[in-house]
Amino acid sequence: MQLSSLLLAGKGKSLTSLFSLLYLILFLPACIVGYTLTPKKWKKYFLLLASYGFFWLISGELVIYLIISTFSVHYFGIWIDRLSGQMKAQLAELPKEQRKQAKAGFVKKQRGVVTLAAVLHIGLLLVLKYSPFFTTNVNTLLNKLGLSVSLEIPKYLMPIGISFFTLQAVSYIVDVYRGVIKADGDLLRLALFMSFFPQIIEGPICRYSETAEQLWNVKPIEYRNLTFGLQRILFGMLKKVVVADRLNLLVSAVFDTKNNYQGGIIAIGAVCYTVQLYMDFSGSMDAVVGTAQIFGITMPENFKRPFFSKTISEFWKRWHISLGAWFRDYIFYPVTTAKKMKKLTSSARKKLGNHYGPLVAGSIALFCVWFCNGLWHGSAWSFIFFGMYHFALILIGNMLEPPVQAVNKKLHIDPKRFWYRLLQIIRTCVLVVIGELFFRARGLRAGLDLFKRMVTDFSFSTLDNRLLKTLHADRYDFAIVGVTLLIIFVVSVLNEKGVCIRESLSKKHVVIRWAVLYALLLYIIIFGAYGLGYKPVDPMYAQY
Amino acid sequence: MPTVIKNALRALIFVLGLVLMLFLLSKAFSPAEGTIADGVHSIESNGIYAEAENSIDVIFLGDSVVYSGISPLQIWSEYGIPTYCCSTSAQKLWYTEDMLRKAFSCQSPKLVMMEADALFSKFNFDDSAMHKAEGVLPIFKYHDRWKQLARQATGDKSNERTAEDYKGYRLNFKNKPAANTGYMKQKLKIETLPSRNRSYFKKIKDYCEEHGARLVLFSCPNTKHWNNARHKEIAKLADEYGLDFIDLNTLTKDVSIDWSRDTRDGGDHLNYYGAAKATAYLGKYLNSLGSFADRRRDPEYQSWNDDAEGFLEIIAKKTK
Repeated sequence: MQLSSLLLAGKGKSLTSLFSLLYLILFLPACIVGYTLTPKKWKKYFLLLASYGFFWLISGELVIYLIISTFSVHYFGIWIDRLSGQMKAQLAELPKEQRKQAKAGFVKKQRGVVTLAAVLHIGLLLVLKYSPFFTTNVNTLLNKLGLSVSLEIPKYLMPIGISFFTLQAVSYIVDVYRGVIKADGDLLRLALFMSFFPQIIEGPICRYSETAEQLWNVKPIEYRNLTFGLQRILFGMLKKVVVADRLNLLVSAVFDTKNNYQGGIIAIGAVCYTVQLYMDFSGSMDAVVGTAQIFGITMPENFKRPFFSKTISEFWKRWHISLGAWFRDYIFYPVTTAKKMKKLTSSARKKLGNHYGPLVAGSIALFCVWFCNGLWHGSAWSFIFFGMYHFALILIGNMLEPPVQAVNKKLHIDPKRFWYRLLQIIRTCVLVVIGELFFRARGLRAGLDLFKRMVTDFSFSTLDNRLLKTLHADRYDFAIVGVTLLIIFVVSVLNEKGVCIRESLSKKHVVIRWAVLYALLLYIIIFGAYGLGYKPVDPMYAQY
Repeated sequence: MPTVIKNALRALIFVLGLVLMLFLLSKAFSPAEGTIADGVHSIESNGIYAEAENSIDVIFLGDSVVYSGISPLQIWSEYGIPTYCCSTSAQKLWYTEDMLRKAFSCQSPKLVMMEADALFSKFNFDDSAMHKAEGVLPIFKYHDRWKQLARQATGDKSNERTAEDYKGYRLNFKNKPAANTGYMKQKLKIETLPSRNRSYFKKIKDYCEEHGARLVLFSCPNTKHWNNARHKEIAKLADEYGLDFIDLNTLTKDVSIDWSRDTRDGGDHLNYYGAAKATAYLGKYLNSLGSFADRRRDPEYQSWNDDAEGFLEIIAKKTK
């Protein structure tokens, strides 16, 4: 192995995920050792260097986008802050009656700067990510109008993680404008916040107030943090290597081949994809949170046992939490609190009452959120459909709330009863799986076709060993996935009840502690879907 | 004792314990040497273990284009030369080297035909690291045999894999025409040999030399992963080491592949019809070397005649 050539070759793609061997046996241990040996006041710079090294290994020369983005938010932030300072100074000098007008002028200027920054950052993302989709649709439209003009479809190389660090950049600018945080005068501190290596591939989308200071004031590695962090990474590995990677070939067979599977098999494929996505993404988040914990940094959690949700609305508060919160804070709230929306709400409240009145403006904001959410996941109609599907479900859920409550009251049904909550959870899971079917399908038409077959031809009559072979799975694959999901389910139930397993384990005798860790390690090594004959899945959310 | 040292010692003992367990598990999971179960990836290519010792004269190495495009039983029925395809899908060069060693552990082929597609197949740090780990602790290689062990334990025969005895060739009649018939002019992402691949190739060449086998490079017809630049690169490599190089992509007169009929997946792999043409040419080439006796009348090779008969019967039925 020629390490020097590997690192110098760069060009991206040398490092593929937080579960790649390059990361686990070389990059992370080197970071831990290097960080430990670095004097305390230089540790933050070491982390910054490691983060840029990491980004170089995954994206090569495309690291330039991250550098430009960091410089841009830094100077935009300072500009907004400077305007605030000027405003305060000038307002102090002005007589009271002139202050309002002067303030409005400054606010207008600040808004202009925020808009410019947002347009530049989001605009870059739009060009890189969406211009091929846009051009393709324009060509289709021109074709339908009978015009024989065809625009060239642009192809851009997009750095991994741009969708994540762009949202992080916009949140920083808006938070400076809102006065939630002060603009950071230290370019390197901001650079570390933007680039911290575990989170750069798949998030979570952090706020400056959550991680910037922690990252800058890092402390030496503590034994407890090290062991807890490694255990968390190991748990993520269990999800990713044993479950997500094992289901990969099956999911590909159902969604990427033209075998006309029966509806029942498509349903199995959709369930398996939902499980795969969750295991892959939440497993990666375990690796992110675990790695950060090693360095004593607390990252925000991105998942909170989403499949225990009773409604779709609740599901999105537990699934990819940082993205939902971003849309809530930077799209939903600004839309609902706009002057026109407030007026609309007050007039609707008079006509429709206290429940349905606010829903009118809320639904418009919700539409914007879900349109953006769908589009954020990818530049295809199927993703927009995915967003609209969830918008419709949440809207229907909001509208049906009063009649459902009334029916429950009339029939003396207690919504807190276990069976009622269980039914709600099952309903939510079914709706989520249907949404994921469209999300995974290769295009909207393919999704609709799969859904139609799932509903009209729902049968398992062709399910035998021969069919399983075409799905690259056998009963043992299903058995091991089932057992692993059971382990994860038990851990989730305990977490839901507030039990921290690592904490409890750390209090046990060393023999028990080691036995559990050995069992987990050997379980992953034996039952992991790696090596010849398997096709590990690249981090699924990194492509969004 | 300071806490740091205490913790470091504890971690060291933990790791040593893990290595010991992996070592023991490696013993339990590794199959008996020289059995067909050696290797979890491909029974078809590992079937060479089932052949009589030192009975194979030629082996074909490479990725899926080899087992799709070369039919040893066709060569046998035409020239009586016993050959075998030691190929697996997406074969990386380190695996090619492994296959070569495996083949030589039970055979003494005089000629090794190496397909060039795998020479351009890049492998990363993870591939190399895993390969090294597999060498030290075979559990990483055979971990998936838990299924086989579970089947044995439960007497389950439902999903037992049996190799159809086509000597490593995988018969396929599917047809999906290729669109890019002008593929020799196309641009491909990798057109020069990655340095790591070059060093693995050197190892393979040296191994063949040490074992008295001649190495020949060849390339199967492929519209997706082949072009002029790759042809030139391999021709240069062959020149450098004084090897023969047969590029079936450029021999359009002798191997007239009809890309609308002879491929199963749009030009990536040949189907039976394409394989028959490619094999016919290579069979002729092997025969022209004059190094191989026709063994069709050799009583020790009677099973080959039986296998070839069965194979030809299936072909006749399918191509009716």
